[in-house]
Amino acid sequence: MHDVAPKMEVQHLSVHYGGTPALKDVSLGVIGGQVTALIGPSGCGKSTLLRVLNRMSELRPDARHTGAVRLDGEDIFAPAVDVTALRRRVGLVFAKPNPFKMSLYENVAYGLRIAGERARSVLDGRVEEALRAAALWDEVADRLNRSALDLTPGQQQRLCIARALAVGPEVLLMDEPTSALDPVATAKVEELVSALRGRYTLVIVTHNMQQASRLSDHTALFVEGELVEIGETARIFTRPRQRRTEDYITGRFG
Amino acid sequence: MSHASRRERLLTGLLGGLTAALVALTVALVLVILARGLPQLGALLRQGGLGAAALGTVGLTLITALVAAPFGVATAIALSELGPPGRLARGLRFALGTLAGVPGVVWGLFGLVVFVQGLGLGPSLLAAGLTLGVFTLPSLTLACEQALRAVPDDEREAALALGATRWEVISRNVLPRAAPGILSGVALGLSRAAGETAPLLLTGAVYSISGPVFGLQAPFMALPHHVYTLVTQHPDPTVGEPLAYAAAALLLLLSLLIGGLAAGLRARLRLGEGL
Repeated sequence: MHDVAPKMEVQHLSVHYGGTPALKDVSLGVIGGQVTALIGPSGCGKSTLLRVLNRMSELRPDARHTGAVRLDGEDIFAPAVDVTALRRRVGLVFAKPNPFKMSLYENVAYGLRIAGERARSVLDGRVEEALRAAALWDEVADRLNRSALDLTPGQQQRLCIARALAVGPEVLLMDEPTSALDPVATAKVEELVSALRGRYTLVIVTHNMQQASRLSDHTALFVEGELVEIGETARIFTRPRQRRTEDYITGRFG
Repeated sequence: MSHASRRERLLTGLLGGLTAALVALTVALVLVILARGLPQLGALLRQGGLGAAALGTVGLTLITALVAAPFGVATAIALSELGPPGRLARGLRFALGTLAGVPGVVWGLFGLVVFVQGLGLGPSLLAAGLTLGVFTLPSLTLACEQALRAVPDDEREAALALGATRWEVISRNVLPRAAPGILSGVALGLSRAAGETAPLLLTGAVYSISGPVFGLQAPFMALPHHVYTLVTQHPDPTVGEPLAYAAAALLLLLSLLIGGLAAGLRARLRLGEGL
């Protein structure tokens, strides 16, 4: 996996929340156009890592980090970096569907509007494109002006994915995107992830190991803030190099 | 019947009874005031100074709104949305909570010293309006902050993750969602201010005025002060009391009007969301 320059690169990253370590000296690469799964028991730091990748981690005032994170080789924490521009390039989908209390249309158009897009024709086109990419268009095309809160949780989550896709990100981060969904809705989101693979670089946090093995090209296992092992998903699940990886994927802890 | 379900029925009955008592009290208050006040209202508006008193109260409420609403909403936004929840915010919240409990007569003294004497406004509508404005500010600020904090953090995080700035989150997400609550807080604050007597006693309220009935820099009449004076000072109770009830009815109508305006605005906001 190291023959391609990674889309995102994490170098010796440590994160503390008010003195409590959340990540310890983590280094890894995220390959462009592929799906990277971050797995591990609760509190292992996988969500922390995800939120560092688009600097949402900064919302916690007690968060401190050392080390570097690079997007296309450029340090995302460099003083010249505009964090709002970074977050448009690196989108985030949350564990709990969190559509805005607005119409479907305004949810998807939100990111475009704050980026300064005013032309109705452009907005219409991009909203449709994003909803189609999120496999939601056929279900909602006739009720774009209805409240997003009237959708089922599964539809809400796909709407949140459409909302993130509408601003044209290069990387899409997903924080346990199916943990609040039923099996049918989960299957739809998983299908969607597979369809987005190739066009986007995807990083998915999940504590569902079947999901990681089904969806991802690469898997990284974290335990207590440390990166235990990263590698191609098939290899990690069949021939783990670390004892702790084997123990985790065979269900001996976690 | 099990012990638990009997207790539940008891509690439900108790809450129902208390609610019914509250409703009955409200209805009784409105009925008593309106039944005694309304019949004379038409005739008394033209005499007895009720018109001037109503005009004064409307003027005071407008000044209060101009002072308290912008500063209150801005402070609430700063408290709830800007900066980390630190010691400064906690201190400010504590100060506001304390100030919100300061009685009106103390604010009247404050107004006398600061606005009437300090700024040289004299006993006047402006001085009294400013006094009511600062009197209303703490409770209005806290009510607006509650409305802002009721907006779930999910909404803020989702917007920030899309590349929104802090200000865009406030203007596009937080304020629209908090607007109904903010309107309720402002309406309640203004209604309370409109009904206050104590802050007016030392800042320029009078029982009657000769000459022009309305001027920013002149003493003024106000409904709550008028009710108080009619009941306590009028030489003939058979004349004073009906007048007092009529003034009280007017004040009640004004409160209903403020509440109605807020409800109308809230309804329009909901329509505006297109939902």
